[in-house]
Amino acid sequence: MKLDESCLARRRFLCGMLGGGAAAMGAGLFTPLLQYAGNFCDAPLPDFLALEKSDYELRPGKAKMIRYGPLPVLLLQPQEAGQPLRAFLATCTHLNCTVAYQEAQNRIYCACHDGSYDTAGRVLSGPPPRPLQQLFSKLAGGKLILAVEQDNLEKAP
Amino acid sequence: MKKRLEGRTLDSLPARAGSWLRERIDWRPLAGLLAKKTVPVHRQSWIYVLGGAAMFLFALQATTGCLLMLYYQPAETTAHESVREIMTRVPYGWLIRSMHAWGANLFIATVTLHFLTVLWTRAYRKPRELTWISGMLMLFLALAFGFSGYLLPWNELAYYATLVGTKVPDAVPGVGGLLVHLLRGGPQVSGATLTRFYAAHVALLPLALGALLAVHLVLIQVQGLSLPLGMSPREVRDRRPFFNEFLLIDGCLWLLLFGLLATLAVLFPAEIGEKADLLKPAPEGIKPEWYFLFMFKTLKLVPETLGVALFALAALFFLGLPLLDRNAARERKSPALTAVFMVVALYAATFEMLAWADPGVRRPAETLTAETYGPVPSTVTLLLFWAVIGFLVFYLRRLVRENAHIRNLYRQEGQ
Repeated sequence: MKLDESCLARRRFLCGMLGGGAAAMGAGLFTPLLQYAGNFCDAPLPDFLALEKSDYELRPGKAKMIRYGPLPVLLLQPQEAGQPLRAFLATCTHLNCTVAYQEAQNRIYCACHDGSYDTAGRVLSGPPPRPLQQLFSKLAGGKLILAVEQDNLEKAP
Repeated sequence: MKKRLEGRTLDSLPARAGSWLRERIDWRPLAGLLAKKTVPVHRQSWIYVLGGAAMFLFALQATTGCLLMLYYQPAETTAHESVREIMTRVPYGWLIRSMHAWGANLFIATVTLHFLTVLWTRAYRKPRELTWISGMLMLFLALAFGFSGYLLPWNELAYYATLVGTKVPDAVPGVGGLLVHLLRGGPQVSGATLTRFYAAHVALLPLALGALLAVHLVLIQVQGLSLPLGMSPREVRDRRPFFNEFLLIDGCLWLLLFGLLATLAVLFPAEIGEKADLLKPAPEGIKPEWYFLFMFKTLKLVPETLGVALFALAALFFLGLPLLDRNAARERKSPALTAVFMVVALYAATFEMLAWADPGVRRPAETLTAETYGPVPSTVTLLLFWAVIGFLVFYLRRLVRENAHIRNLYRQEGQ
């Protein structure tokens, strides 16, 4: 059988056009879907947190948990006299479990994989790769201002 | 290295993947079965696209539904708030939800048209009784999907629609009260109703419909497509292979439906409404969705028990139709049944129109505010989208013609 035209060439052209159109359609659908599923416009972290005296004052060797937006924060008054109050993101730097202060051992402990930090947030033992992140703080008008970013401390009145 | 790559071009990839698979599992019998699937070409062959279109819309509903599940929170205190979040804060949430809401309407419209064409051509006749019954059950499930999904935004209209709808089985003598209690998950429509409607909407109904769809498709594959009653095989001009001619035509329609849905979603986004409030009286002129309107109007005019009995009888009549219509099984027309269909259709259309013409609830129009929505940019994007759809449809049709051309060349060669 003799044909006037090449079926193969026509098919390649058609498939190329369809492939290109499908790619354009796919890209056009992927972008909004990724934005939808990713929920990238999630509420940002608060700039700072202002705590009343009654909320932040702790006896030496005591700690408490507070919320900084969606993040857990550990407030800790070290046992050693003269040490300032410290605030850490209470998220283990290994795999993000929430850590706790253990008064008896005077350490910050992560139960997930046996990680421990000292009261300054430095790694003592276990898998954590980095020290705990400490929040920036200042006292202003009797309130304790806490911020994840140092620049945001200035935004507090 | 060069020797190993010899003859391994990108084009040979599908063939190599095929042979890799064939060495592990022999899928050729299945492929052979699917290759035998053909679609008759005649005056009325447009009706064969409706089932596929309904299936495409169902798949789209499943997709947008799964996406909505990422943000929707099915509880009395959070349902309405999470729907508002989806519509206003979540990027393109308005688009996903509006497509789901419009898709539901389009799905029910398509399955209704599918039902009517099958009814009209008497395609339910022997040997396709089981295909018809599975299809009818899926039609009922489609209505159940619509009814259960309508409550989920937990707004005023949804609340009252569910209140009225779940009260209907109360007319069943003896077990009516029990049925109402079961549907509502308690004596009243409450948070318990919301969670069970959600469970039905996202798990029970999809599972049931999936199983029935599998039966429906296997039967169609095994029995092939029916010809309209009274059409002689000589009127069939050709038989198109399903793969890969008819499926491509299906694909064109699916793209157009997809475009239509996106257009409706952009031009008329779904409403959020007012949160359901137990203490608020029902708004004046409240009506259900269009696919329940004729039943709603009927129940307003006749005693409830009578109305419910009539609808139950009608459902049973249509479900058992292939067994009642003895003439169709012998390829004979039955004018009496045609008359019955006409009366039922006339009744449904009249009551639908009457209820539609009744004044509805007067509410101020909602304006959608979302960061990803703007009437002008969204419309421009929509036009671009249509351009891509047009391009794809144009070349898909060319590919269909090309495939038919090659098939004819082979046929001539064979003669």
